[in-house]
Amino acid sequence: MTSWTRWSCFIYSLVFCLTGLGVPTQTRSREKVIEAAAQLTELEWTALQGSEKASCLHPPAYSGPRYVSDYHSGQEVIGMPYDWGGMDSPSRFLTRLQSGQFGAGSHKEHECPACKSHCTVGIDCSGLVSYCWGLSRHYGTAEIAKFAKPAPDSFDVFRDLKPGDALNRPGVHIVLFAGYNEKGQPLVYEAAGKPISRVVKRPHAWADLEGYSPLLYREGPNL
Amino acid sequence: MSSVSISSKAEIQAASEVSHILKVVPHSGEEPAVGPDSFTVLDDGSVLISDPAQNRRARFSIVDSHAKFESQTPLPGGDKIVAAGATDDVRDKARLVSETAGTVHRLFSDNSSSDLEVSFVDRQRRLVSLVSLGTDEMSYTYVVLEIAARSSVVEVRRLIRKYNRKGVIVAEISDVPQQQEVSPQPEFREKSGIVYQMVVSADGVLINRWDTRQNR
Repeated sequence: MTSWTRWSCFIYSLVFCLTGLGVPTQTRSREKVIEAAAQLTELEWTALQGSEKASCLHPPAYSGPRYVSDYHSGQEVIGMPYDWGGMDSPSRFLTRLQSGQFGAGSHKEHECPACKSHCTVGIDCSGLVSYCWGLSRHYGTAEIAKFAKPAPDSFDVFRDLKPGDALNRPGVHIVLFAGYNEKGQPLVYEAAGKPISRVVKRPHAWADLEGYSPLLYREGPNL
Repeated sequence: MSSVSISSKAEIQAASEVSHILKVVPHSGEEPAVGPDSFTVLDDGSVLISDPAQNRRARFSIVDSHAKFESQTPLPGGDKIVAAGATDDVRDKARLVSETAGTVHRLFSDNSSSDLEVSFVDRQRRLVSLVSLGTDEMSYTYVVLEIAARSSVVEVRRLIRKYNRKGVIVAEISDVPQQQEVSPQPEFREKSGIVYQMVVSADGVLINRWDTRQNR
């Protein structure tokens, strides 16, 4: 085996290994991260009769409150719905929605560990960041930090964030940073829970994000 | 700085009558809390509160630091509420210029306008955001300043200032409580010289009031 072949095998093994850990399979620029978030925000869809119900959320596997989608049949919506634990791309979302087998969006109260499948579609807060960062699966707010670049001690969250970074409060919520607006507030993309229940882009007061820490997007090879 | 401090004891009213409790569902897992998310103050001093967890707007009159439930109306959209998001109904335009300064382009009721210079100088903290609550019929302008030390974690304090038409600070509120569960938008309102804040916690809703009418 030539040294070049051995080197190629090493790189292949490393990429395979890291892919399994959820590291991006390809480098995604910050512009692409924001583009992905914008697509989720601007996604236009219409709720169908079938999307008001979720086929798997029934006893005995499911014991939560009766599932009713936030969206009624015929409702025209802009922005992917909030779906607790979800991480759909726009195309996957539309395909599954049109199959009539999936409920449009869900909330924590609809969690069903005993269900054999996930029968609702959409995306939640950490699903949004996982998807936009190009991670191979959904990572929650408690574990997604391992894919971010550590912020240096001198980092100033009020000035140094770049589009594509995230603001995270483990166990609570995460948002994708889009920029600072002219008032100095953070403009973010987020999968917002009730009553917004979908992906939106909006400014926040800093006070809304009290206690949140920056997760810096790891641009380039994630090694 | 020629500011005037308002009492640190804001009046607090709890909207908590048993049959008319505003519902707060604390955050669960990674899903944010659901609870009253906006409010407005009506001409008679009563407050109208959006209560999305119960698909309604509830109106409370305020009498002697107590809130009395008056009425309710369904939120637009029937029983499937998907809010459109916050709207910015303030005509003034605020802009952060530097760590110590900002401007507010304000519109007066006589249709004239001017730029208000906002300055914040402190050894440990700097200005990180600036928002206008609006300019009233007496030509007073109310602004919210978020101030912070240099930090890698989000930690801010808020100040609310009242400026007169000449750009002089006539009142400053420095004891603004932080939100605990839901972040209403808007969080603050100004009506006839009184600044209101809606604070949402797991225990319910507090409406804080600071009366600045004596500060001219």
